[in-house]
Amino acid sequence: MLLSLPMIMQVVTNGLCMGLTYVLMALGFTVVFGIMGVVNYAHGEFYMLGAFLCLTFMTLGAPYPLALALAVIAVACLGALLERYLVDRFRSDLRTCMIVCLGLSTVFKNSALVLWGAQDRSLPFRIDSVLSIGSLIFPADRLVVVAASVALLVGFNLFLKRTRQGLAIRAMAQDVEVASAFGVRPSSVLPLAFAISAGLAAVAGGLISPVFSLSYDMGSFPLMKSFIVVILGGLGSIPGALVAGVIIGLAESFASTMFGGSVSDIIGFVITGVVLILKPSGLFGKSSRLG
Amino acid sequence: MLRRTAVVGLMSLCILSALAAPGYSAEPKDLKIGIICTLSGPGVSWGLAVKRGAELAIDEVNQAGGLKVGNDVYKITTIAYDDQFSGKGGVAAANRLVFEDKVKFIIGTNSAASVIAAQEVTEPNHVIVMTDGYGAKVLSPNKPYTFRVTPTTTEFAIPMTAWVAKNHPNAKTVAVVSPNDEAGWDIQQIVIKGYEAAGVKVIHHDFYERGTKDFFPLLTRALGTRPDILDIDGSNPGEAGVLIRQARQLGFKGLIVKTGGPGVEEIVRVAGTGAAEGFVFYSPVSLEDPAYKKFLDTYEAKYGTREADPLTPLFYDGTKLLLSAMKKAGTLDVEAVKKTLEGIKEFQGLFGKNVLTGKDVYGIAHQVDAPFYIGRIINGQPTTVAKIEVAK
Repeated sequence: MLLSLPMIMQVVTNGLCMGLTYVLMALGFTVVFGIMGVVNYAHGEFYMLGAFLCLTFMTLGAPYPLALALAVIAVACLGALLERYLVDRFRSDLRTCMIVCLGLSTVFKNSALVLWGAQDRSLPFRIDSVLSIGSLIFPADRLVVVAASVALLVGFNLFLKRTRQGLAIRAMAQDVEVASAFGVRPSSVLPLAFAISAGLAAVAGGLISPVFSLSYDMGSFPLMKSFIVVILGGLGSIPGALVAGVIIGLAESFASTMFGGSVSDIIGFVITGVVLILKPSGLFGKSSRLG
Repeated sequence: MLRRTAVVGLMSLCILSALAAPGYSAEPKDLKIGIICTLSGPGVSWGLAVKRGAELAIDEVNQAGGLKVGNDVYKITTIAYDDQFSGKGGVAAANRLVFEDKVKFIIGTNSAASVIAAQEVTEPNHVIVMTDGYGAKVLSPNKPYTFRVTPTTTEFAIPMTAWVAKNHPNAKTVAVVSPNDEAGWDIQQIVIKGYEAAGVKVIHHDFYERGTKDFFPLLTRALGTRPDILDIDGSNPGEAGVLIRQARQLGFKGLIVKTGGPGVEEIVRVAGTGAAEGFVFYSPVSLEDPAYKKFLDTYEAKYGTREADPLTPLFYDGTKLLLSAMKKAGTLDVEAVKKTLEGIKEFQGLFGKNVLTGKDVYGIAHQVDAPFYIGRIINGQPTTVAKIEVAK
């Protein structure tokens, strides 16, 4: 299929918007995967819980920003508690830890099914306006997600590089034992990292759900995209996640527009496979270092 | 005294003889009916429609004293298994029902993949299945024990597209997008045939993967052909809502139609009332129909909610059809019940006359066709604009 110039511009716009959405989804995953080496299969469910708790708080009368903030705090606390009392016990054995996370994912998913039902839901908050520049169309709701994604990316990077907690997290990412010897307490830093990861997933869920819809199984899509983005960008690398997200977004947009949705679904895996063959640590990967 | 004792004794003897005589059963017997439906994963809403539709019909019969079949009265119980919306789940559920629970009648399932897999067990073992699985392969002369109780796109696409063409004479072209699975392929083929028969030119057709969240690329491609109508049949309610919303965000001003599949409230919730305004949809039920309101009262009394999936009444009707065939046959012998079912050319459902049809399309008249409604979103509200009765 030949694309006209306006169509190419729209495809690029679509790809950039979606790519930055993927970055937002993957940001929290990067933290836990990069720092703790934990393959958190429940990451998608934190995203789902963020969206549904936001819906619940709105149903109770909270305006959208407050509902989002409450949902993020609740999910971050849940993340910290889970790390402290469950994940931490199994962290030394990667496989057991993966199975625990898989179990958590199932528990959360089915609990959501019981609590919020099987039908798709939507947030009672919507930005319907569309920004048009020439023939290009930018839906405002997506621009909000893009802006939030960029802001969180910058903010999180600053947090890691300019704060004591960020330094502690980076130190733990490099070597837990050496960092502990220098006074960094794993019992406080690791739950903090898990809380940040869960909170970021909840922010993503709460921000993206007005664009898409909510369902109890909505977590599998961001989990898959997070895997691709984090592995392609390099474990624990935030600039890597940004570049990888944009590459995947653009590639999917072009593939989907030119060849259809089936091709776009495999393009991310193909690109990741090729990059890993050429550079096994991913685009920006430096062993397991974060930052 | 002796005389009195003799009278009482004689009376007791008469009662005992009456109870022992053929033609009366003191204790209701147990009749187990299997249910296969989706209770986890995508499609739970449809799965609950299967289960609850069947349960409501069975409750009604049990509360009226049980099912009279010949000289016996049966109290009906159900055994339900989750097929997880998959072929693997369908065949596992069928194996358990047929070999462990020894059931001879199954209601469900709601997934084409699941029922096609389950038929590998039910057909050779002569088990009657009252299903909803879309897709042409579900019914065939080689599968004589399967009946489909829900009309599919094959039954309603032609009358629906004809209605759209007649009521929107300025709409000359259509783009059709459907999910990329067996049901989606079948549906798209039939919908295209319907539009062509109605004189609307199909200028674009495409597929998307189930679970897609971002439809912008698909829609950029489809809407680039400048169609007058966008048909999104085959999409589940969540997908349909996002499709409508994103099509409007991309500036599409034409008519959006969903030629099949229920769930309009959910679609409007996801799309937003602004984007959904004017959306034309198929619906097996009408909220304005008093019969449906009454049905929802019963539903609410049992399940505590009025949010019934619109397929629920079809499974209610389908289960009642099966039970009435058992009663009419006077036996639970599968061959006799099947023969009786095949002899029922038409029956009264909740919303009017239903017929058993499908000989021309599937080679076997095991397809229930029921009346349906065409709705439109007017001022943000789903509004019934036409009722389409079954073809004579």
